[in-house]
Amino acid sequence: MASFQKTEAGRHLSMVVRDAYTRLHARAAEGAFVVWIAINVPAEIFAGFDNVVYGVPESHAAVNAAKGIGALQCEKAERIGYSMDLCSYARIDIGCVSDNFKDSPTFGLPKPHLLVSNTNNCSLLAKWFDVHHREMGIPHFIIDVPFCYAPQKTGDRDYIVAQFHELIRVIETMSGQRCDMEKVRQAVSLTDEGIGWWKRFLGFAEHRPSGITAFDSFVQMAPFLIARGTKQFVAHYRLLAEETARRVASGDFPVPGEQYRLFWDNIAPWHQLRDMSETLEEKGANIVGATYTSCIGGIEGSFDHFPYGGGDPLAHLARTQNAYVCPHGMALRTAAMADAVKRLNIDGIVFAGNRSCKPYSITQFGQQQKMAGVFGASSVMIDVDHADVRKYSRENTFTRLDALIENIDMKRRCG
Amino acid sequence: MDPVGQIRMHKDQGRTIIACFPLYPPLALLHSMGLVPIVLWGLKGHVSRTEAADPHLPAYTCSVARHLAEFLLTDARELIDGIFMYNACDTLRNMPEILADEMRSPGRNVGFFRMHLPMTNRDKAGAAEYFENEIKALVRDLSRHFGVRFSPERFQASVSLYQRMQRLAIDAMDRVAAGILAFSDFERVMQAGAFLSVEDHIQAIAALPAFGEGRRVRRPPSEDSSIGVMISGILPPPASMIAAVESAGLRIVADDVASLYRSYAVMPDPRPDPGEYYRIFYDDHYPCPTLLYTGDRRISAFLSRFAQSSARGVIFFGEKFCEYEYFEFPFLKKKLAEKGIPVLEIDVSIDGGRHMAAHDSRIAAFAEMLRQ
Ligand code: SF4
Ligand code: SF4
Repeated sequence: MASFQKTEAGRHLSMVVRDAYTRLHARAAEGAFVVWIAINVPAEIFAGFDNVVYGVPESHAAVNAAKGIGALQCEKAERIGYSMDLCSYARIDIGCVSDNFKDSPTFGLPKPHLLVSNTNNCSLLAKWFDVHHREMGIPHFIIDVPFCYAPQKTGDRDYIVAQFHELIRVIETMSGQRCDMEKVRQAVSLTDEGIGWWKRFLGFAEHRPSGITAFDSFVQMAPFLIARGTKQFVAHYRLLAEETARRVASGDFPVPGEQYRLFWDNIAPWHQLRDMSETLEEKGANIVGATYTSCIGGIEGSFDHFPYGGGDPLAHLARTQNAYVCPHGMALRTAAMADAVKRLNIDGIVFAGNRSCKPYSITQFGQQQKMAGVFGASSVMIDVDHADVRKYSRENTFTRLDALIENIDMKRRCG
Repeated sequence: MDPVGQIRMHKDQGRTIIACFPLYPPLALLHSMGLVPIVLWGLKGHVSRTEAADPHLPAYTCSVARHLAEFLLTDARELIDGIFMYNACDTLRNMPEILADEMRSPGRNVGFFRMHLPMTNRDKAGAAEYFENEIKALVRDLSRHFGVRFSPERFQASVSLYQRMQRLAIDAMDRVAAGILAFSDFERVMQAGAFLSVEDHIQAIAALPAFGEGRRVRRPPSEDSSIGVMISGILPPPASMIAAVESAGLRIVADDVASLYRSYAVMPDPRPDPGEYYRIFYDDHYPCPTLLYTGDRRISAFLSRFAQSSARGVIFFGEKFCEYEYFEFPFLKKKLAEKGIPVLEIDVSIDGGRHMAAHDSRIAAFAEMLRQ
């Protein structure tokens, strides 16, 4: 089963998360310039400033969901008029802000001076951040990342770089601090190094039985969201990769009786990690990989590490902006998934239709057809909401997962 | 209105049809290049089932996207020559790939054309230049695919035509506000316009009852006992809801609807350079939740539209699953409440208009409240 906190890396993860939130609150209290960012805004830019810290509402929402209070926070937003059809991350965050983070497991996020959203994962993030912009009267900077259907165009990259420069200018003006591009370069290098270790960690899924579960990788994403560009980020992923290597070498596997190797498509079902991983393990099934975690550190259409060559750090950050599944189209999504399915010897794909994340889910029927038609992959579509447990049916989910396993068995019997 | 019949008529005249995804495509540019642009919304009354679209789209996709998918995969499949879309929303940006394979058939080469509209704060470095390049690329792609040419003169003439349509539409809505034209008549002609050539649309608006060239609008007749309301949403409500509004003694006197007022409220004067024209067109566009950079103007534009009307309340017709609208309703409602303006919010789902009982009583109760 997923190791969660039992491993050394699990314990280290808790420390990284605790440190990140503690530091964020402490520095904010000491007068640091606070930015709230969308998950994929390149945090390395803030490392160029002496005293700029950032909080990530999506990440904070995921923590709430994983701690089992996602629905509680969603209800607060619904009570003040936000529709239940809105993304559950947004509802959790708006709910949290509505009572000043009363039930937050991290004491919330410090009040921001600037909001920075982007359009790459979804343009709804801009709408969500506009809620805070209007309610709190805090400036809102939108980074516009053109969606791509084919590899990112040079003109698009230049356009994104220009916006990064503009963002830097805005922070310089608002905070009175200067951005040191050399520090940004160092942060990008550190992120790149850490991603190298992250990719090594994910690579242990190629082993049979797999050295990891996707649930491990979901949990271990946290530093990517809150500690990019730091030495701690590198140290954490190095520890994770090396510890996993040792465990694999000593025959210590999360699902030792692994019979079915599955692949997950969508955001992690934060409220179900333990139950889902344990129940699947009982069935001899392991979700060994996921688009959600594999896309980190790549570019659109490929889960391979896209290394930083040491040039203009902003150009590198811009080049990787379309990496995360939502900002690119179905053909690119399918290409990356097909490669992973082949490399990881996947028996079946779990398409987790997620009504809270339409941008991730809308192409899934098409992708499912393509994966079946072109690659002959077995798959199933389940309904999950990544952070709102009220929209999840355990019974339906496992009925379908059982059907997937039966389908895999049937295919095996038929040779 | 029969969209298919209308498209067939264009085809019979040897015209090339480019189907545009909502919301605000550069219609005059497409028109100036000899194409007939149609906009794929307002299909609710025409598409009654979504059997062809359903295998491709999750159930939580808005009706606009499901209807346009159904339309393209069935009735319009063999009639469309090209499809245009821009990054209007997260749903629409994924649609071309969802439809492309299905629309492919032997001997047909439906062109897909795209443009990225910058959604940044407008004073940002690079956005203007980037966008003008997008327009250039669009012109180039259209020219290549259809073998057509861009002409600055024709472009300006097309812009003038669309401006004429816009002025007539504003005039017609004034007549609705004045109580001399039924909103349902106005709305029907405006929705039909999505499938008409702009020339025909101009004629259709001018032919509206109680609409004559040069006739001036009078103020609302004082004997009229109905109460004015403003409506807001992506689409106008279905006919059955308009009827429910009217039979409750309310009268729609202003709209903030994406396919109506938001679409035509602002149109700049002609310019020979389409890049420059559309930069101004989108920069100055009437605010819409989908035009992310208009966020700061949105609330004041909404409130001033309300203030300039004789409306006493607002009805939001929320397009089910359109998160763009949903994110704004609570703040708009709060601002309206601060001014003591009553608000009703109604979700319109894909079968909206068919199950009216609950809506009827809410609308009646709202009317009652306005009357007190
Ligand atoms: S809709 Fe999806 S991409 Fe957008 S904020 Fe929610 S989870 Fe993230
Ligand atoms: S109704 Fe909303 S979600 Fe649907 S196509 Fe229009 S803008 Fe997009």
